[in-house]
Amino acid sequence: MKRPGRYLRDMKNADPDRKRLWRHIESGILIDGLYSEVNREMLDRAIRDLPEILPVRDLWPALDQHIHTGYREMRNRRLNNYIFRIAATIVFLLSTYLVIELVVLSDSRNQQNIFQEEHVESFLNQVCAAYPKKCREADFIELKSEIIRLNNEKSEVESSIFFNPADASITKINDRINSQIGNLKSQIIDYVE
Amino acid sequence: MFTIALRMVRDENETYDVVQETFIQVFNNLHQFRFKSTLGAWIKAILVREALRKIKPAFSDIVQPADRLEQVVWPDDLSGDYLQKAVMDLPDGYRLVFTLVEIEGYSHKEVAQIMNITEGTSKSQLYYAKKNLQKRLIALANKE
Repeated sequence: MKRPGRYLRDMKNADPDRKRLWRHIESGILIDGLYSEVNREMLDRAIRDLPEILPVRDLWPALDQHIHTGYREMRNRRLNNYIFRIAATIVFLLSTYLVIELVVLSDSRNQQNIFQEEHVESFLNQVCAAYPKKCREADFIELKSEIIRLNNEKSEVESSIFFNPADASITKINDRINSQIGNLKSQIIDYVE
Repeated sequence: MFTIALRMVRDENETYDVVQETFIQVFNNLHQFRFKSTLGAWIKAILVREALRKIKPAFSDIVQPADRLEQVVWPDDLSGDYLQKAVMDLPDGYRLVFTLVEIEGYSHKEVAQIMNITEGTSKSQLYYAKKNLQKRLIALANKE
């Protein structure tokens, strides 16, 4: 809000003549018509002839330094922003990938374990249903506990493979356990028959 | 640009600061220049704003409630050098309005906008600046 000087503000609350004067001053009417200039052309000529004052000190080096520093800072800021965006994108993609891997693969591993457990268990149930007498014999119970132990061991090895898929030694152990389970199944069938 | 800033600010060291700050602003905001005026006028507007930030003049309107104000009489031998000296001795408010209106050609409306005052204040400042200059020019002529 534009405010006139203190004297004029005081005049706003003064008598009607002064109030009128204040309004004229506010609008500029009063000053416009209230005085004249003699020899005005002399002022115009003197203004045209005003000397130009040149700076003694060269302003450019300081400006140049400031502009270049500012430019470098701006460029670094932009570069940092760019790098930050790329890094954030990579982190986002990696974390998304890991979450998907963990959720999907752990789910499939669980399903696989359940299937494996069910597979061994259903195999034993089928054998016991077909040969109930043999199922109670000590040798069968020993073979049964061995195949269950191997099956549990297989679950642990499979979880290790999940976390170290590139580890060849774990894969070999898993293969060996699988073949041992296969052998035990054959031995159980041979025994009951 | 340096001359305009010096006439407004008066102090030489502060004038350097004003000019430097102006050109930094110009460099940083060049993309905002919309070609609505000449580049020179745009830079000058920034310079005037920067100079005003430096000095922050105080205005006092002392308009006499008279039928007519006194005439302003300019001396016959008025030269640019004399005027320059007299202008530099004026108080801040008078000097700024005189510089902007009479020397730089701004209208009272523009000055009012730039300095956040009324047009009436700008006009009264100009009148008193001229009366003040008249006295100073006479004093300068008597010294010689």
